[in-house]
Amino acid sequence: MRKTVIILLLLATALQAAGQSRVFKGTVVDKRTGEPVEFATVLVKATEQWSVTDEKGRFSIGNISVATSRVEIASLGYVTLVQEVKFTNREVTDVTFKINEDNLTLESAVVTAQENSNSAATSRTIDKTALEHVQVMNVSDIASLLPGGATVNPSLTSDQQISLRSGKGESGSSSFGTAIEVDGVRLSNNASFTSSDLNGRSGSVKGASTNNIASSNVESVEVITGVPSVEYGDMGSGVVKINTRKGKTPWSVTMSTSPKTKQVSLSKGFALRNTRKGVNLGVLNASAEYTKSVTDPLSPYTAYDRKQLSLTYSKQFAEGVLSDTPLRISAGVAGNLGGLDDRADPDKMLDTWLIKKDNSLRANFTSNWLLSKPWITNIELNASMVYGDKQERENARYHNSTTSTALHATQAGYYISSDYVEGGANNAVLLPMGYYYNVMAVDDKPFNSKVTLKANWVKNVGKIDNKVKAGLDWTVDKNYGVGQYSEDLATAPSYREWRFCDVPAMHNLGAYLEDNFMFYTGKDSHVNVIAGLRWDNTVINGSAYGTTSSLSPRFNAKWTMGKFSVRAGWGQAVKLPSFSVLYPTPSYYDIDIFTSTADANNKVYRAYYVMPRKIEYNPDLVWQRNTQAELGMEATLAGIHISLAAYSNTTTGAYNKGTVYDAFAYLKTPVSSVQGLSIPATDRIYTLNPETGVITVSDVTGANAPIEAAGVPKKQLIQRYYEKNETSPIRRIGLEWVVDFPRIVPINTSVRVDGSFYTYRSVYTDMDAYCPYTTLSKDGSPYKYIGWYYGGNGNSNGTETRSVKTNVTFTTHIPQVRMIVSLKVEGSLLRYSRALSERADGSARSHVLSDRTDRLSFTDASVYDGPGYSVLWPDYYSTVDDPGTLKPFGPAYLDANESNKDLYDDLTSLVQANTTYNYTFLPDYISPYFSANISATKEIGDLASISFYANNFFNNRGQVRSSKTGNMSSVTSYIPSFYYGLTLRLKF
Amino acid sequence: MKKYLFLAIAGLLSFTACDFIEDIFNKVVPQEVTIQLKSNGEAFEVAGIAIDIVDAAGTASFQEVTDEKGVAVFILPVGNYTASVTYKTSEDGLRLVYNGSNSAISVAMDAENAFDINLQKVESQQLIIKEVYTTGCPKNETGTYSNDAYIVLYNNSDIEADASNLVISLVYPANAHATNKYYDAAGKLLYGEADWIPSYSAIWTFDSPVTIPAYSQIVIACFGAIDHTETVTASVNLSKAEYYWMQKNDQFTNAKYVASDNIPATHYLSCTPQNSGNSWVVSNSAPAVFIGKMAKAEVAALVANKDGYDTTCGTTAALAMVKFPNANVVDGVDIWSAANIEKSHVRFPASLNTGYVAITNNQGHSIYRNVDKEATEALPENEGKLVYDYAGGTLDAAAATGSTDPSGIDAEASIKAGAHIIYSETNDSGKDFHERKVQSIKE
Repeated sequence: MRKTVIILLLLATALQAAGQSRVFKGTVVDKRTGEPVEFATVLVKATEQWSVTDEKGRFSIGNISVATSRVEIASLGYVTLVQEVKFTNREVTDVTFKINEDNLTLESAVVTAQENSNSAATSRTIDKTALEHVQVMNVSDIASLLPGGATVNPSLTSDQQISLRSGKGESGSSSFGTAIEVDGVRLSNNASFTSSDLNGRSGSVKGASTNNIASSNVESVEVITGVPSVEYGDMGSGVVKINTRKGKTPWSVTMSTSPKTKQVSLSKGFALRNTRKGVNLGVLNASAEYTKSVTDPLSPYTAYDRKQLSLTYSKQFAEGVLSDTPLRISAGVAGNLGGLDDRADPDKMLDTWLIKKDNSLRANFTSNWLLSKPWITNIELNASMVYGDKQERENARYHNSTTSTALHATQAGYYISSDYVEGGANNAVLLPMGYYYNVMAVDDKPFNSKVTLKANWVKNVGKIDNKVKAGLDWTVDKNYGVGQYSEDLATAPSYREWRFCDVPAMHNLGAYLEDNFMFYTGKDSHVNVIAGLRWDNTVINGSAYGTTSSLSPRFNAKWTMGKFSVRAGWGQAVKLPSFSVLYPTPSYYDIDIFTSTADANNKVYRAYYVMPRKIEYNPDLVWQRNTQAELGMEATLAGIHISLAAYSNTTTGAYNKGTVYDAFAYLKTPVSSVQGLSIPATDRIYTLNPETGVITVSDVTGANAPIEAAGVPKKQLIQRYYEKNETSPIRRIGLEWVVDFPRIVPINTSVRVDGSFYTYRSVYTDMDAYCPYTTLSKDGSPYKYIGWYYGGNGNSNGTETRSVKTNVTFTTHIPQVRMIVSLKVEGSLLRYSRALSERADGSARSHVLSDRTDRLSFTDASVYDGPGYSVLWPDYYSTVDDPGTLKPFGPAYLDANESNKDLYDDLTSLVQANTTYNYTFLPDYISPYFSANISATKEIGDLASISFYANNFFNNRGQVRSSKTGNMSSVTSYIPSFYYGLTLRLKF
Repeated sequence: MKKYLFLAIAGLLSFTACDFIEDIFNKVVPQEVTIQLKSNGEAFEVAGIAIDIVDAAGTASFQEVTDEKGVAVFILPVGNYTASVTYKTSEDGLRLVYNGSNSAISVAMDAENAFDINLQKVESQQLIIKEVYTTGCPKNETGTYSNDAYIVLYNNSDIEADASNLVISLVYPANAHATNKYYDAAGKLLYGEADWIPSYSAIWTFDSPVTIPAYSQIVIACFGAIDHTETVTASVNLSKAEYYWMQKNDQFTNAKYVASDNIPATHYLSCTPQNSGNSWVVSNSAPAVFIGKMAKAEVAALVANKDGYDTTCGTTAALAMVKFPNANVVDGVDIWSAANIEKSHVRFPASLNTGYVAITNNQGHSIYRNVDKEATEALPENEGKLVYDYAGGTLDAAAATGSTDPSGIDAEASIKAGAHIIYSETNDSGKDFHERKVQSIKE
């Protein structure tokens, strides 16, 4: 990589003397003071050429090939200025840009998410003013600022994720598919085992937690909910780009308090220069934050804390040979120490505690080289890494009334407990009787690194701006944790070693090409078409998964005519699996085959047959794919700005867990076979034949001959899991709207109405096996039949939901007194859900029982027709002797009812009758409900500002009605409870 | 003439003397008398029953035992007698007393001399639940412990009881305060008029024949039959050889309980699980425990007959209940958690049990049977052996909590003193039981 950079540098140097065109020079100053603004970025939008101002606010951009372009001037602490510039002369040198310091004296200050009108895909930005106004403690809180977003009270004591355009409890792992980047560093959850587990269909793989991002250091957040650029890979739907502070800033101190959370932070952006030589050495932004959040304000001891230090350095090299081809570098590092700790909690049992680390180290390096050549405009090299330490340690107190047995065996076979031996095999350890402590830990250290090389080529021909973007990225996911372990194996409870660090790394090589075509059809009208293709090649050496390739095409188009624009997008994205999907934690079925009687010291020997529920690699596993389509429009009519976005998200091949059953035989020895033997209990030694499972009792004194205990052969089914892709799609369709009414000047108030209509539908159509294998058959043997169910063995195999949420925000902004107050009324107008039971073609899967107690008699009605008790028969069944041969269930069950009562009773255990509630499949409409939140920010000169918020400040604790059950329930399940917070910021 | 006079006198004398002699002779020659025992008009064909006969003057008494036809044969002088019988036996947990007498037994010369005694049967409960301890106790430092549950069965009579066909089970729901569908909107028990109760989880039967002597008990460990006091001081020692153990079932894969080697395999109980679940679920909060009479084969048939299950609460293996016939229920107790009285409902129909007894959980408290004061004091052998001023209850009148034995008799102390205790048996858990401070078997 280093060689490549050097070659490129030499190449560019050689070519820099090539053709010159227009030069753009100017100065950026503070509008109020007239002082030059250093480290401001000046960007020529049409050509994507840029420069950074020096200590005198000067900038220079050469080789400008367009006659006009919008120019964007951005600097930390200032309002971004966008201005049209005509490059009519060969050299434009006298431009002075006056930029406004960002504060509440400005009419333009907003505290809501703002749509990026230049983007061809739906994208919104939440800037510092809005973040400070709502006092974000956890970046996930920004979801409330999106259309139809609902406020939640801030929390750090449980992991929070961001999930866009989705609902709670849905399939398809939407938060896992949301790409979150902090300064370009992807917060990947791929390599974590503890926070990304796939727990069957009801669960989802969770996305990366946002808890350990220092919220006080966030400058802005961009949320792309539309079809993103192909440069974003390893995702499902939605990109959240978090930008932290970079640049020169005064000292800033923030102090926040709320009943559960306290925060203090300090930051400063330093301009580094050699004063003797007057050389600019770049800018260093440093930020430190301490946040503590407790689970219970009445007992504020169990707490999550975040101690974060961030350093960001950036510098432009634009002198000498680089004067026309400036090189800008930026490097950042953020370290976090913290996590959950309940050691101080007096309500915990003495000396028991839980510590969950949430340490992380993020580092990134970016170099951006503006070549401004006819064949290449810009080249960018990024390298980033995230290392997490999510170790969890728990000191628990144990009590055994007899000796107990801890199993650590990982191979199938018979094991009998024996005393712990230091360094011994210790597959079945005899644990002591009485009380003791033991520390169990799970060491999870996910690591993700990424290197990206990206090149832009901008060509402006007449009314056409054409931008080509090509790039390569290489990501590595690896876990360096040792998995679960005990700090004292002699007293450890049953657990199996599962070393995360032995799992091979997952490499993904991505390559992409994107063309961004802009055609200016008039003064204020243009057409923008973006088409891109991304190729991902995932390599997992050392595993059966091998190499997987995927293609992700994406398109966006936008037509702008003055104050009206319409846009459309379509694209696909693949989400790489988490390690928990690729390598689920192995589980074991430990069958108790023998328990001795207790001797006078309560010593008991236990023997087990250990059967690993080995999880097979699924060679057919492919990466979960999301297909997104979007239609959007923006218009400004009579001062009313309207934004609409309709979308469809379809997830196919969602990660899921499948089940298979295998039969196996073992020998079981009843306790009665050793009770009352001539060998006294205290003199007995129990040994086990590891091959046959036969228990032999010997006399430690030698007075009696060994006695072989009589065993009983058993045969049983065992459940095993494997990872798979769902065959049925998960569909989400929605509409989002934002309407901004013009400011009502007399009362300094503006009104925003935003909302969303959302539908979700998922029907599971896989043929799944189920066996109640821990129960007994009629003849007393372990249960010996397997049911095969279309859509699994649940009465319901799907869900559909619909919702309409609308928020009305009244913002009163009085620049003269530097104060802004917002009242946001959040309403749920429609909240509907319904359990489904149907086949892919919509035909019936479950049936309505004629008689609640009779599983054999159905009515002709659909389960959706009204109240009724329902039943689900498996489509097929198989037996312990031949688990793989499927026989039609219905005829066999009916026949057994007539002729074989024992078989009938056994098969009845496979019939899934839903006779407890008769409303399972009824539509559930939750009656409308509302909540009101208020926020206020007041600046006290330039020195200080203070913000206050109160969520649900009317303390709405009313009730809502469920149409499904007819029951009333508290609205507090749906809206935040009354909560408040205060923040004081000082700037000097 | 004189000669004829003598002959006449001699003849008269001889005639008179013959009658007199014969009369005298007949009176002293015993007659065979048969007495047939009958019940409801039918021969009561039980051998070995003693029949007592007393003559009219009360000066002579006779006793014979019946043969296999229920007949006793006496050899009695002619005369009038009164015969009486008291026959005590037990059957399926019930104490049966047959009483009968016949005061019209008149033995005559050359008569048939066959008489009947009609027996009147009096039933009383013989096997009862004396104590239930399932709600656990504090561990030595902190936390609670409930693997030491036990049930005490008691022979509340003076006759040895055969408990071989006794079964033990629970009534659904596991906790009196658990939400379930056996009540209508008004809280009325839906099976209150039915001839069954919903048996839950499993039905336990003895593996070997069991007899319980008069006024004696057996202790059955529900989970671990070990000395729990080794690690939990407030617990009990359930490892004694005379105790019994509900052994683990194959279905109960989650159960880790063991028995001491002291307890012979003949003291094991086995169960037939009837609901799904990986453990025997005696609630440590508010169970309803009952004992019944039923042979093992009948238990197996009852549990196997899935069509006979009650599905009021659901048809799944977790919610369909075995209908245990009321006629087979011997005794039961409805225990409620003191912390959840308002939410609790009775689980027995009124014909079997009314009322409830409350308990505070996790304190080492047990539910203990009250003494039938009148009956116990009436036993002559108890003279001077009864201990009063019982202080083992938990009644705190000021706090209006707990309960105690209103008889005031300290049953356990009295038993140690050699007394025979007859416990209250009114089929009202509230009157028959109280909450005891400490487990009765705790040493």
